[in-house]
Amino acid sequence: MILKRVLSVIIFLTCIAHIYCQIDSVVVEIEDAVVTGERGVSEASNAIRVIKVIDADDIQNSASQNLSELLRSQLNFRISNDLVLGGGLSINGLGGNNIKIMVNGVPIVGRLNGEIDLTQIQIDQYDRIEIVEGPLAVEYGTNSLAGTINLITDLKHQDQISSDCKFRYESVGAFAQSAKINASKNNSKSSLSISRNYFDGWNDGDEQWDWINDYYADSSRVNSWNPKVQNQVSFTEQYLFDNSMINARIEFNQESIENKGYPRLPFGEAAFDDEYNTSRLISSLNYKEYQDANLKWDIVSSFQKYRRTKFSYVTDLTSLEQTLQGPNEQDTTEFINLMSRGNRYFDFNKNLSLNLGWDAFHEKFSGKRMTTPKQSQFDIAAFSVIEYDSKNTKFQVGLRQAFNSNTPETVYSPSVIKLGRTIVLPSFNSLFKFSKHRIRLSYAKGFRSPTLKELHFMFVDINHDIYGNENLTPETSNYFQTNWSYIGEFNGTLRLFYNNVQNQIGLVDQLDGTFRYENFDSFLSHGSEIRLSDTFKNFKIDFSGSYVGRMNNYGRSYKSGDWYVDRELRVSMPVIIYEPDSSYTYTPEFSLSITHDIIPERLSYWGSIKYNGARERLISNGDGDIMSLIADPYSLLDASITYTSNEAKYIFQFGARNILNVTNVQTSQQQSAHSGSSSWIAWGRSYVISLSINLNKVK
Amino acid sequence: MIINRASSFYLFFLLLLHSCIEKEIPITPYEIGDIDLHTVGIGSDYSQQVYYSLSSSEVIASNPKTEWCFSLQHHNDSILMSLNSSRYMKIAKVGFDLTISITEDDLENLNWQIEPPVGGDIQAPYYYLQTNTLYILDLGRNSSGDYLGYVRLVMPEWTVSSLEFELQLSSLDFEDSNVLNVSLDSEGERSHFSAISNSIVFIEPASDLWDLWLTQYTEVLNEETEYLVTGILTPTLSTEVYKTDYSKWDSLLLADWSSLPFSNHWNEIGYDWKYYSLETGSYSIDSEILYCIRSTNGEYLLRILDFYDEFGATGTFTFECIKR
Repeated sequence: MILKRVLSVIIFLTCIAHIYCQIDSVVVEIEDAVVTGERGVSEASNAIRVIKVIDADDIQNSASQNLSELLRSQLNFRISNDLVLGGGLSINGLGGNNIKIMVNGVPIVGRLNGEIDLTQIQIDQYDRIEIVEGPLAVEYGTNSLAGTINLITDLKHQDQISSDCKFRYESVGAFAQSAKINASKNNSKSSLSISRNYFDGWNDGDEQWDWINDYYADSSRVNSWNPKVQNQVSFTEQYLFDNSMINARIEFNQESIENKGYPRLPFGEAAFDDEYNTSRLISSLNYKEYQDANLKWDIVSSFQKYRRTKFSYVTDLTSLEQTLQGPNEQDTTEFINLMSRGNRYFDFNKNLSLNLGWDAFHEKFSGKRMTTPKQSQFDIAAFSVIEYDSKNTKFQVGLRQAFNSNTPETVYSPSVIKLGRTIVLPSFNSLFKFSKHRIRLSYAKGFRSPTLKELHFMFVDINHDIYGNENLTPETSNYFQTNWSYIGEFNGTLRLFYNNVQNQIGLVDQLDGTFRYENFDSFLSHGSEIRLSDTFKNFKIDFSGSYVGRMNNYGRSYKSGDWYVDRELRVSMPVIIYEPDSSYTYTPEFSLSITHDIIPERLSYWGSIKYNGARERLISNGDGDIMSLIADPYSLLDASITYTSNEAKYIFQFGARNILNVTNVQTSQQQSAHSGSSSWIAWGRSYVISLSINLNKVK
Repeated sequence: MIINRASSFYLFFLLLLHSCIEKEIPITPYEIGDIDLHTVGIGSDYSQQVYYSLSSSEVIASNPKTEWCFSLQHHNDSILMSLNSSRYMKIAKVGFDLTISITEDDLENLNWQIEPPVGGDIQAPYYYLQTNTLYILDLGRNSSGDYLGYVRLVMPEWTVSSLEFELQLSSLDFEDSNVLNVSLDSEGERSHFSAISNSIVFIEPASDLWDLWLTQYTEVLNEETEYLVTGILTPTLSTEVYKTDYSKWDSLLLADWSSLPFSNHWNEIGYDWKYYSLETGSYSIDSEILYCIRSTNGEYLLRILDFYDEFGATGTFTFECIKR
């Protein structure tokens, strides 16, 4: 029903746009372009923030299928894998709710346990990915304390009609197909993209080349990595007017995961199976208006719906008939989100401009274990960014005033700048250009609104007394960054940063038998980072390294955790009793990638290695305590060789992923001789074969 | 034309690969043979308490766990109290001032005790009722998690070896006061009482008629955390259990049990034959744990095989049991 409505709106806008479309276009394509947090399109080297771009070539070279696989080789990024909840992410030690993931500036909703499942985001449909480390709260609001990832689709094609399709096989038993059809006529451009990804599951000990093999309903039905099917379809329509552009996009993702259980005692004739079905609808409408080639209006609105259902069955393994288990074993989680963000740019003179904007969303959540089954919140903010831009300098001062319907004024902590029932977030960015040198200085205040779960959670039975807390104050941060870049014979960047996050939210034992979400923790990190890239002859080399220190600082000591709560809820809830020694733990990381055009524009080789240093992790042990563990260092090595035919009609790629065969990382306890645990990093070494066919180009 | 070619080409591959999904093949049903299986349920909400006889392989009696609050029995020339630990009940001894006012703040500061999971007759002389002493009973929670409140309990008079006496039960604010006339069994069987309905209830069969008590009960985990678990207790004086996970079923069946260190702890079978796996999201059974059970009705070797019913609901115990 909702899908129909959204489609109707898009069709209506399509008709309107067709009537008014004119010929001239002010949309310019800029090499090395970035858009995140910028006014329109800027060159990355002249952007006021440091923006890391993963472009289409990088995406293709990596032979990755989804965002989780792609980001695992990025500096300062750590991927976690929950075999039911999917792939999570942390940047510089902050993850989950603190990372904002957007599609063309539209934040993706549907977090489970704070994480967006990155394995659900198929990257074939995106042209580039922009990453900003540190908060972008003035422009984009909540959830960006650690960083922002913006997935960009571009309609660059100039052909009347073009199409391409891709077939991909990965030796762990993953088969993917995707196809895209692009069309242009007058001032309109359209793109339809569909893809399907089937993964048959993976176990340590599987054959290196895993094909389609039927299997008996015995213990071989159980997989360490669950089998899944993902389908995706997206449609984008773009219209160019005299001075403006409308971009309408709708995307639908569907995923089905089978979590098959072991045959049960005594006879192994039955098993408990779970099926997780996730659907995600993202529709957006973006309007841009230009004046003298400068962006004047930029308005984006979206409607999103996320739904995840869990069905639990008893499967008769002798007949494969399935019977639904009781209602307590079934679960449905749903998010519905409406969002609108607008920017109006005013140019006072050649150098001085002002951006006034709004950012608002309304979100409805329904699921189990809340004070009422349905909860909602709205958040509305106004922001202004004043920018001075001369030939060699650029200054930007931003201010955001935000109101959240669920956060009462009385509970704001001193770390929050408040104005009545609204909070105020400032930011300052500066850029100095000296010939081939760029120097940036930045400060930003970040914040994260408490989630509806943290506010309204309630799980009470004879063994549990767990509550949300309607008096939670937002998490806030102060982020400082300086950066020096050199653009010349080679490109080099040196970055220093300091991040201080206050009022982190977690579940805390109230020492009266109950647990409640509270603001209790601060997190500090600082670090340095260097990036070097150079191109010579037919080689392109990118090297980056970082050394980052992190520290959790608890406001007071907390006693007693409840591991059994975790077991019952099947969610990770940090009941902290760990008392750290209040010192930084430092982690080195480096990554190196080399691209060699063996035959220019025909045959190229790519290799990438990322070293992840040992890092502190806080996990729950079997005794109900949160413990400090040190995760072992590990390296991920990937390589690919790509052949491109004449006019790029065919692209054949052979890749090897996780060549060092790292599957999980052992953790050892920092302060005792007890054994640790392990966490999944990746499935084993795998090989990828893909064929892309660009069938036609009608000019 | 070109689009047609493209579409056909892609459609071909799409269909080709779409059909390539691994399929599961059913297994051949297992031939059960002569395994002596027992299946007993206490409800998926664990709301029942079941008395089970191994000798007759049947449920002797059952009751909702809300039906009673405490039991009394004549033991060692004293009155031994047992709490209904399936509701996470607690007791606190306040003192000799029987009319002292008790507020909610006072409740937090009392020295609360749970029913010892090993059995009140083995541990805690605390539960031997003293005369003219004020006790506060925390009635715990019902299956929905709702608090059932608090009750004052006083035994005004009692002479040693007497089986008949009065019990005074009242609400914290004395608004509701009742007197129960108690008459205990001379053989030491437990008599059960409800502090909610202020009555004597008859729920427990004679102890020689049953061996296992399947119920929720309050356990102490890691020597500090009180937690409600679901398991099997053996609260009769005549039942003893030896637990091992080192022996094989067949060899233990034939072995000499006379030298085995049997335990009379109520929770020797307990709850930890099952464990919850976060990975599978369900309970798994450690069927390697074997229990030698010695009761008035004979000797039995038992191992637990399942905690789920055919529909995947917990609360149904399936165990294999052989009489020696």
